[in-house]
Amino acid sequence: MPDSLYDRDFVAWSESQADRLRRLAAGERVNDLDWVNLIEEVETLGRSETTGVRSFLRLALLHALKVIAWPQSSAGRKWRNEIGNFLAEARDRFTPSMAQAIDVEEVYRAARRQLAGLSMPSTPGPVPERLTMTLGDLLDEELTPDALIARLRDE
Amino acid sequence: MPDSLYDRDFVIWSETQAERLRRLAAGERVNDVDWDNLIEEVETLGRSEIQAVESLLEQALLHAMKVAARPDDPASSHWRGEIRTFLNNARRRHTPSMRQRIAIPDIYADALDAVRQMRLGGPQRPLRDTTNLTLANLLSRDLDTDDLIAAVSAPTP
Repeated sequence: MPDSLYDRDFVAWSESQADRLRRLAAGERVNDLDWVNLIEEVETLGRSETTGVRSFLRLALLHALKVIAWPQSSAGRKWRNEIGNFLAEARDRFTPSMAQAIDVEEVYRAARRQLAGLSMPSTPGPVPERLTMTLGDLLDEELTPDALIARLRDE
Repeated sequence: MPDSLYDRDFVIWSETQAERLRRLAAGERVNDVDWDNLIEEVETLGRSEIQAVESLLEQALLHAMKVAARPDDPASSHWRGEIRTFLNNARRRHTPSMRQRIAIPDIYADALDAVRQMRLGGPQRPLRDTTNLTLANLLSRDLDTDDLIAAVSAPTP
């Protein structure tokens, strides 16, 4: 039966579960763990990391698309720096088991949708319809912001 | 002994631990739970929620300070809207046990520090250096945006 503390006070819930796990680890008999919510939270930990990598890739692509759509913008340098930061974050957090859960084409479509929703002072230039890069290409240590922009421009 | 899988592949680690907990919950004997990291992660869940609420409150205060410093700024109505959004989100995520763990004076000091480092431009009205606002004040549904802005403004002599 789920402990309603979970809904009422998540902070208190997390402390009390940690405490009970500590007792369990020490070999004590503990009967009142909130197994259902605990197991779900532990599973979610890994999924949130994957979501994080997906978001960083989307943001890197979005900023590359901004450079392509508004090549004359004075923000171009800032956008390039952002691409570098987002790619580095994605690389740092990526682990091999995420590969199957990250669909780069879907990530690219999300970046394009986000680009279309931006309110900018001028109309955007054309951006490529599809992405032909792979997850491996995007996470390659050698991929600089300029290289990413060039790859996308060639599509 | 910590499982090095935790450092190598966090996604698999989390799936593995969930699976072991599921067996443990079913009454099986399970010897290979990575207790140290698991307990730390479970504790961190709650702490991240506290940090999220702290950060929302800091943003609310920071925007109130911007309006207080530059009441006639063209962005001030936008800032006012942000204050409401941040406070509403903070109220929604707040839970009772956060009360002892969230120090408003520290959050106020951080917001003040952040606002002083911004280049807001133009003349600025002075802000209050410290606050006697409480968590309950900030989370109250009755808190009026104007009252909050007044509370961060330096008193007029």
